[in-house]
Amino acid sequence: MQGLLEVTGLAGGYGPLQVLWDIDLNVNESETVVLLGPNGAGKTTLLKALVGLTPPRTGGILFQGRPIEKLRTDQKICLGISFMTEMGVFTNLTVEENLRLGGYHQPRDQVNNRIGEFYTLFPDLHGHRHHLAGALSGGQRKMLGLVKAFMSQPRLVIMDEPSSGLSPRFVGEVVKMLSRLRTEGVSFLIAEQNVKFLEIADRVYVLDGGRINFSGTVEELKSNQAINEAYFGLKGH
Amino acid sequence: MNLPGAQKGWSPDMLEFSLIAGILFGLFFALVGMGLNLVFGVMRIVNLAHGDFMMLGAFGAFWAYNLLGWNPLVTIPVQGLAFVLAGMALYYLLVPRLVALKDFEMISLVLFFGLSQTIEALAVLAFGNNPRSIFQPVFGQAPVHFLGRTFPVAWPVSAAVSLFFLILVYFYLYRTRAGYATRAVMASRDEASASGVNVDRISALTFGLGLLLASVAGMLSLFMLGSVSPDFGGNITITAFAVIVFGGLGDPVGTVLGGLLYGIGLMVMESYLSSWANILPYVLLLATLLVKPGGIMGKEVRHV
Repeated sequence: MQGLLEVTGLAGGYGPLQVLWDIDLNVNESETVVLLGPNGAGKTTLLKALVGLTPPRTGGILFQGRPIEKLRTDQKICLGISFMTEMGVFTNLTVEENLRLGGYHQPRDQVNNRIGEFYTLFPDLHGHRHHLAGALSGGQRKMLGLVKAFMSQPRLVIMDEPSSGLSPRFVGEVVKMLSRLRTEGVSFLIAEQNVKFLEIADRVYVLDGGRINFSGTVEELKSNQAINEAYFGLKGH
Repeated sequence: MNLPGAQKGWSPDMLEFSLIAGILFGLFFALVGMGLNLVFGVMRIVNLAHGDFMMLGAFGAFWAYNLLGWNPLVTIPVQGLAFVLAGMALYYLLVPRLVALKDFEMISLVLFFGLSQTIEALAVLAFGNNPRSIFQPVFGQAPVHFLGRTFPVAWPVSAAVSLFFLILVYFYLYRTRAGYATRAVMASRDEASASGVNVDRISALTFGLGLLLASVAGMLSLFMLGSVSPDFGGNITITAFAVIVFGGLGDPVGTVLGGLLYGIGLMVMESYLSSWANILPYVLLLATLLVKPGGIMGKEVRHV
């Protein structure tokens, strides 16, 4: 498998506060990687460092073999990385405006085509296309956030807690939706604390206290007694 | 404020005059607030030099009229372009350095206060500390009759120019790609970056647009407020701030509503309680913050 995203020795944080230590992480082509960790483990900080919202202090980030740690966030997005934040949508814009922003760097025709395709795939969004995203239910908002993340025809989709704020029933829906969108050889890096997402994972990283303390397949994770007790025991798997 | 042509004293049909004049002035005040509010919405910076840029716009129109014989309506596009470019240059010169600082919001207030004082001091040196005005009938001699009332022709002309620019802002924000991006940045800088928006470029553009609107509003002040002197900036910044707080910080639609209500309120006070009219912005600012801090549009106060 070809390496798509390669992170080596990354450290970062906010101002004087260091949150991340010596992170090594990679995502291959067409691979779904889940970054598991409890609240406050540094998952969001790590994702923000990867896309440049909180610039990393040290360490290298290669995307398709090219160093990108010095690039601005919008430049990384142009390269084919898509980032779905925990909020995921602009609540003050309509559904359709959100989708247009998702395809901000794409040619207009292509954006229109893609919006049409997604409306067919998710008729619920079509019905709300002129409503403000803030008026949608939590589940619909996630759906919009997911679709918006795909508007830019990304190679890699990075997601920050797609399950946050959702009831368990909707978490299942989101996982189902993700597996439907896992086409076209797109890779995923999903930060989560909900183990339901392991169903679609090829590989897992466990982040705790700002360090990666496990890396391997889902099976390896399940056979790792210490990690299992620390996370799954608490989560009631 | 010394309003040219405003009628004073009690009269039964005075209210009607005040309401119509209030709407004309309200459009002007909406324009006064709009530039300040766009800049605040996108950058979370209160441009305390907003009124001073208005003053520069007024002086630009004054000198263009007196030295070159340009009608102020001709000055608008030329001067406007210059202000957009100056605004973008100023943004890149000042703001990226500020953003890197820890106490960004506080430092930016101090910096723009300093900028305001500097512009005012330089303007006094350059133009002398005298109020300037442009001969009113530059927009035509005849007073306008409307709904049985008579107004100086400069009022409806200024209101029409204000309305034109407000509509332009609306089209920019709601019908263009840069406008979507601007509203996205207003909602969340990080989220906008994550969608591929170059937040710095949008911010620079917005700062330029804010200065453009200030220059137009400044030019109109020569007609709506009678005259402009180099120390004009401070008070009009407060007025602009009162309008946008009243309408809701960061909300362009609220600014239009806030401007209209402020204009009507001001004209009603000018008619019935004219000696109190000067404190209207301060009272409005205090009352809004105490009673409805999110402004009349009722959105929650944003937590940055």
